[in-house]
Amino acid sequence: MTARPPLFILRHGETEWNAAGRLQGHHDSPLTPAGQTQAAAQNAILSDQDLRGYCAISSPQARAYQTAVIALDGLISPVLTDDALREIGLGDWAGQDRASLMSQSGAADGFTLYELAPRAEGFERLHARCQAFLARLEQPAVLITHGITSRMLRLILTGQPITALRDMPGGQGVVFRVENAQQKRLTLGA
Amino acid sequence: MITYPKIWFLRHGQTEWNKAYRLQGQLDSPLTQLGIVQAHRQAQIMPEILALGPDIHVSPLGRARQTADIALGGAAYRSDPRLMEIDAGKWQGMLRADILAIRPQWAQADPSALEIYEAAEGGEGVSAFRARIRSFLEDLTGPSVIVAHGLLGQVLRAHICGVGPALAGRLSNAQGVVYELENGMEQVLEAPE
Repeated sequence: MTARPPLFILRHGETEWNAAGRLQGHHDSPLTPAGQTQAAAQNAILSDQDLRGYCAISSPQARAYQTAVIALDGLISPVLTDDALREIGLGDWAGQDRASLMSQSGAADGFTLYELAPRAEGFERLHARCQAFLARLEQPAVLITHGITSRMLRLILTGQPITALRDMPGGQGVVFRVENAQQKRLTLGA
Repeated sequence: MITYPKIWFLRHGQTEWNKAYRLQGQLDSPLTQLGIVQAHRQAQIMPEILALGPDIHVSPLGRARQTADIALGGAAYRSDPRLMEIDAGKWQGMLRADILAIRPQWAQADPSALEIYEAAEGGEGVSAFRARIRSFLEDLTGPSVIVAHGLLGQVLRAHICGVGPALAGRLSNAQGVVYELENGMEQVLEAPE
């Protein structure tokens, strides 16, 4: 395996729908004030890093791009966009209430919803999409993406099987640094 | 990292061939009505910048000069052939659809314009293109306004902002705006609607 460039991977900040417990998928909703504060925390974390030679690539979805603009303010510009960094497709269930879907479908956990949803993208296809993206990425980058897509990227980068997706750490307002197949969670003041 | 003087980059407005999806390269066509409006939008942004007394460099191709004449309000400029658009060889003057027809493998890939020019038969190629843009940048001695072309802008801006060649074709490529480049970062200046 050839060495991959080092990456910083960010999830977008809290959105209106995150706060309301609705699934977003390919739908979108704006960042809440708390989400904007989380993006500012990511900006403070990245300010301590040496970003020379890094480019910035965001999901084109507004919640991610809005996060990117705040998190990279004064650090990297322009922010590129790439469809490969979109959130996993939730098919017919995008926009619906997470708790009621969980009880109706009998899903064991939130992750199962992504496989059960009619016309969903599913983990296999997301895996292929993330793998193709990483294969053509040639330079160090800050990636701004979504909860499930971020986990899938880090799962591939750390050489783990799809079944390990549930165990990947997540979080808003944090930054994952991935280099040499190792990930490190960077938080503000920790 | 090399730092360059502050740069304001303007792409020419929409041309007849842009509108028809016909590859221009170093051939030329005049601005459309929309292209003229876009140049006037740039003209709203430029007075404050021109008041700083920057050097002004313009591509010798007609569409860039036509844009400069409107956007810079008649300010004098230097013409520099290193600012011409990338040469697309035999593909210049062809429709994008005709090119995609002879390269069926591109149907799924949605190639960027820069990728198409890179593959053009008898074309200049991106690495020679980058070299002449770097040579131009190295000769800059102070804050500069540049009026030139879409792909020239993508490659120039990517070089200044540390975006690798493989991603240069993914940079925005807007007409009617001014890209301000300073300390390896880019800001897009737009006139109010």
